[in-house]
Amino acid sequence: MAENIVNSTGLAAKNNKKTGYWNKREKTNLITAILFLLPNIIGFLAFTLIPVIVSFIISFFDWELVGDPVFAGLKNYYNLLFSDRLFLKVILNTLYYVGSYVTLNVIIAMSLALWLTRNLKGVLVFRSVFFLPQVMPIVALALIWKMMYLPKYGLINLFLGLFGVPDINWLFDPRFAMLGIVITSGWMGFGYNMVIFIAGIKGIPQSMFEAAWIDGANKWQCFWRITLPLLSPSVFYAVVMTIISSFQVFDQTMVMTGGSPANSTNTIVLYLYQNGFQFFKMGYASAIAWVLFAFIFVVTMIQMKLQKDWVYYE
Amino acid sequence: MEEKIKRENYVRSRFFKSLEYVLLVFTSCVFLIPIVWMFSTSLKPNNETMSIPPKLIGSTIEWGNYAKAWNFLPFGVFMKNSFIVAVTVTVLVVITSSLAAYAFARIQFKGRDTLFLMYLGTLMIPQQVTMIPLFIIMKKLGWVDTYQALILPVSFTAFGTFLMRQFFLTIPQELEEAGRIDGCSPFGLYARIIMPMSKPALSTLAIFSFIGQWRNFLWPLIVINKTDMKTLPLGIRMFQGQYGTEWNLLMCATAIVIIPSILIFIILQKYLVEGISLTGMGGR
Amino acid sequence: MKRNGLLKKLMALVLSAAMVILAGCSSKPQEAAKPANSAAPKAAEAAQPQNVKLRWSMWIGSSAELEQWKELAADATKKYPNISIDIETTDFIGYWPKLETQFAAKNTADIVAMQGIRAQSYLNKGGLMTLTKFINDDKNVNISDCNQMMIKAFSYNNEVYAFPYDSGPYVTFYNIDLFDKYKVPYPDDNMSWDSYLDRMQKLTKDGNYGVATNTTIDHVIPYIWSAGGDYYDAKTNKYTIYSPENVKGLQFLGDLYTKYKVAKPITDPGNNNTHREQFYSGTVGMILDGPWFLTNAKNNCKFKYGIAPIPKGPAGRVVQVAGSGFGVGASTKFPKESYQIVSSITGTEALTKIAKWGRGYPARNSAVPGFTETWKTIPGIDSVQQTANKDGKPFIGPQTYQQVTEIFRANIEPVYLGSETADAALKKIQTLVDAIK
Repeated sequence: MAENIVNSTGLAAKNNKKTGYWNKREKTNLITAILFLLPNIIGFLAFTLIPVIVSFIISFFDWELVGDPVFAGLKNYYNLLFSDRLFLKVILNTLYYVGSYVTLNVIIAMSLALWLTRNLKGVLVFRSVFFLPQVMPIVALALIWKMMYLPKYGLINLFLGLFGVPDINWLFDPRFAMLGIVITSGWMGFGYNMVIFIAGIKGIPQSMFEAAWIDGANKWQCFWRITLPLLSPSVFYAVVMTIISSFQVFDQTMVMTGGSPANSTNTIVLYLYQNGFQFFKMGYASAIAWVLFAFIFVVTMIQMKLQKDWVYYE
Repeated sequence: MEEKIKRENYVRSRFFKSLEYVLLVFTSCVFLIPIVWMFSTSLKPNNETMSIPPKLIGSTIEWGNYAKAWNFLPFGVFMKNSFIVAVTVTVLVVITSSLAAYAFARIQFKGRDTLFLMYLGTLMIPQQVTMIPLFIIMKKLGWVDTYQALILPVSFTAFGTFLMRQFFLTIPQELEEAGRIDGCSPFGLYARIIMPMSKPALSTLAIFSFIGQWRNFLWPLIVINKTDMKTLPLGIRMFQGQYGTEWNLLMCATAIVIIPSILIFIILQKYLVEGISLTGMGGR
Repeated sequence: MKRNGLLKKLMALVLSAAMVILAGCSSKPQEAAKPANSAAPKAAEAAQPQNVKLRWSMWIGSSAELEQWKELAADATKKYPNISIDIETTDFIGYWPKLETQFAAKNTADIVAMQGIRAQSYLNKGGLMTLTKFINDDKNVNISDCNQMMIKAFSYNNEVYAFPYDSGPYVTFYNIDLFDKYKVPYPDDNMSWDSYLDRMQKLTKDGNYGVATNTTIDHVIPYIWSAGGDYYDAKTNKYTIYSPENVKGLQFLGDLYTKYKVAKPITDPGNNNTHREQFYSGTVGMILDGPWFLTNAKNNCKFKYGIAPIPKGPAGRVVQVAGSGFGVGASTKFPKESYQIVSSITGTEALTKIAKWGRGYPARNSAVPGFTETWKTIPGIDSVQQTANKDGKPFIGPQTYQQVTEIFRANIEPVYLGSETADAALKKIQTLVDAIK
C-alpha cells in the first residue's frame, strides 16, 4: 500500500525505496537535513513563523490595540469580501501596480544586467549608478520625485512637453497618480533585479559561449538559447520575488501620496496599515493581510507549476 | 574567442564600443538626475527647497547644512548602531540561509517541499501585521531596546533561503557526485564545492541583507525607545517634524548615510562577483 | 497518509507558542496599578516616597526640542527628587503606530504624550489612566486655569485623563510683503468671506496665490463651522456630514480652487504640511494655521508675516482650538508619581517656558503673559488670544474619527479637482460614514 502511494508521488524513483517506510537513506537524509536547517529554522520559527500564525489568529478577532482582542469569528472576512467597496478598489489599484511594475522592472533590469556584464571598462561605476536608488531612504526619494512630477515646472512634464503632451498634475490626478508611483518605483527598483541577474550571468561558464561561437551562433541566438535558459532560475526568483513584494507595496504609496487622490493610489498594504494603525481595527487589518496572502499564494503557485515549462535546472 | 572577433571586426567594433559608451553615459546621467536634485536640495536654505518654479541652485549655497545635519541628532551613535546591526545580520543571514538552502536544494527529506512552501508563504504576509506579535514576543523576552531585538528577528526570514536555493539549483549535480564518490560528507560538499561556486549569489545576498538593514525603518521604530540605541533611518525621519520638514538637512543626512552602503556594494561586487571571471573559478 | 514527522513536530511547537503569545496580550494590566488606585493613606505615602524611574514618551523634530523637554523633566525631578525620568522620543508620524503597538503589548510609557484630537479614541478604550482622584487630592493643581476646551478634549465620562500643554486656535497667517506688493489691505477682524475672496483675487498673479490649504478635514472645518454647520452632533452621537451649511462651507473652499482659482493647486496631497511649505516659499498670501506654527514661521519665512483672525462666515467666526497634552499610561506601575510629573510639566512655570520657546499658545491662562511677551513683535498676535477666548470651539474627535477623516479626505479631493460638487461629495461621505461598522 505504501509502495503504491510512494510510486504515484514519484518519490520511489529518487530514493530506490522498495520496502518499509523509514529506510536508512531517508533517515540519514532527514537527520542531515535537520542539521543543515537547524541554525536557520529555530530563528525562523520563533521570529517569522509564529508572528505569522498569530496574525492569522488575530484575523478572527476584533482588536482595537488599546484593550483586549474580542472574538469575532468570520466577521472580518465577511465584511471585507462582501461589503467593503474600498477594498475592491484597493485590490484593483494593487493589481495595476503589480502588472505594470513587474513587467517594467524585469525587462529593464535584465537589459541593464546584460549590458553591464559585457566587456566594458568601469562597469562597476555604472552598476553602482543604477543600484544607487536601492540604498537611499525612501523619504528622500519621495521628495525628489514629487518635485519631478510638478505640473508646469517638473522635469517629467517638461520632458513630455517636448512631445506635445499637455501638462499633468501627476500626484493629484486620479488618472495618473498610480502611474507616477509605478515609474518612481521602477527607477528605485531596477537595481535590485539587475544585481540578481548579474550574479546569474556571472555564473554561466564561458565554455558555453565558446562552444556556441565555434558553432557560428550570433549574439541573439546566444542570448535566447544559452543565457536566458541558464538564467531562468534567477529570472524565476526575480519574477516571483518581485511579484510577492510588489503586491505588498507600501512605502512609496504611504510617503508619496498617502493613498490620494481619492484613493487612487491606495494599495492593499497601505489600506491594511490604515485599518490597523489609524482606525484601530487590527483584526480587520489581519484579515486583509491574509486575503492578500491568498492572492499572492495563488499567483506564486501558478508560477511554480509553470516553472517546469520554462525554468531550466541542472 | 573574444580576441578572434576583435581581430576580424576591429574597426567596426571599436566604433560600436564608443557608441555604446556614449549611450551608457547618457543613460546613466539621465538616471542620475533625481540624485543630482538631492544634492541640490541639500545645499539650499530650507525655505527654498519646495519653491515653485524649482531652481537647481538656491539663492545661497549652504555648505554648512552638512554640519548642521550631522549635529541635528547624534548621528555618530546611529551610524554605529546601524553598522553593528547590519553586519551581524548579514553574517547570520549568509551562514544560516545558505545552510538551509542547501538542505532544500540538495537533500531529499520528508516534508521538504511543504516546509519550503511554508518558508515562501511567510514572505507573503506584510510586516505591518507581524510586527505586533513580534513586539509582544520581544517584550516577554525583555529584549525591547536591545541589539538582539534589532538583529535576531530579521536574520531568519525566508528571503535569503529562497535566493540561495535558486542559485544552488543551478549548480550541476555532477560536481557533487564527484565529491560524493571521493567520500565527501554533505557538509564537505556544501563547504568545499557549493559555497565557493556561489560567490556571486552570496555577495548578492550579503549586499541585500546589509542594505536592507541599513534602510530598515519600521521595526527599529517599534522596538527601540532609547535614543542611544536608534539606527540611521530613525534619525533621518526625525527631520520630519510635526509642522514641517527640514528637507535640506534631510538630504544632507541622506547623502552621508548612503556612503557605507555604496562602498559595501562596490567592494562585494568587485571581489566576489567580478572576482569569478578574473580567476576563472566560475568555469565548469 | 504521508507522515511528516519533522513537520508535525514543528507545527505543534509553533501553534503552542502562538497560543502563549495571544494569552499574553490579553492579560490584565499590571497588578501594581491597583493598590495605588485604592485609598491609601496620604500621610503614609508622603512619608516614604519610593525611588522610581519613569518613562516619558513624546514626539520631537530636533535635538533642540529634546533639550526643552529635558529641561522640563529636570524641573520636575527637582520638585520630586525620588523620581528620575527617561525621555523616549520619536518623529511625529512614527509616534502613533509605535504608541499603538506599545498599547497592544501593554508596554506604554508612564507619561504619554497625546493630541487633543486623537484623545477620545484612546480614552474610550481605557488607554490612559483617570487622573480625577489625584486631582481631587492635589491641593496645588488649578484645573480652572487650564484651557477648558482642551480639558474637555481630554475628558471622558466626566473624568479627566490628561493635562494639556498647548491650546491653539486656528488663525490666518498672512505674507505682509506680498500684501504690500499688490497693495492689498491686510486681513482684519471684520473680514467676511467676500472680502477674503477679494483679497485673494488681488494676490493671485505672477505665479502667486491667495491661499494654500492641504486636503485634511482640519482645513475644511473652519469653513463649515463658520457657515453654521458641524461634522458631528455630540447629543445624538452621530456624524452630521451632509447638511446645507456644510455644503455651503465646503463649496466655498472648493470654489477657491476651481471657480476663482485663487488657491494654490495641490501637488502634494499626501503631505499635511504642504500649505506651510508653500507659505515659506513666499508665493502664497494667506494660510490657516495655529500658534504652533510661529516657531517654524520664524525660522523659515524670509519675509514679514502677520496674524489675523480667520474670516467671518455666514454664521460668524467659529474655529477649532487644538492642542496636545500628557496623560498617564494605563499600564503604569507608578500612577501617583506619573501624575506628579504630568502635573509639573503642564504647570504654570513649565507652560510659561513652553510659550517662550514658541511651541504654541499655552494651555493655562497663567502662562499666557509669557506667550504675549515672546511674540509681541508679530503684527496681530493678540488675534490668537482673542480667537481662543471668543471664537474657539473644542476640536474633538469622537469614536471612529480617524476613519471618518480618511473617508473625508478621499472624497473631498474631487471637489478641489472640480470633478464633484460639495453637495455630491458630502452626501457620499455621509453614506460611507453611516456604513462604518
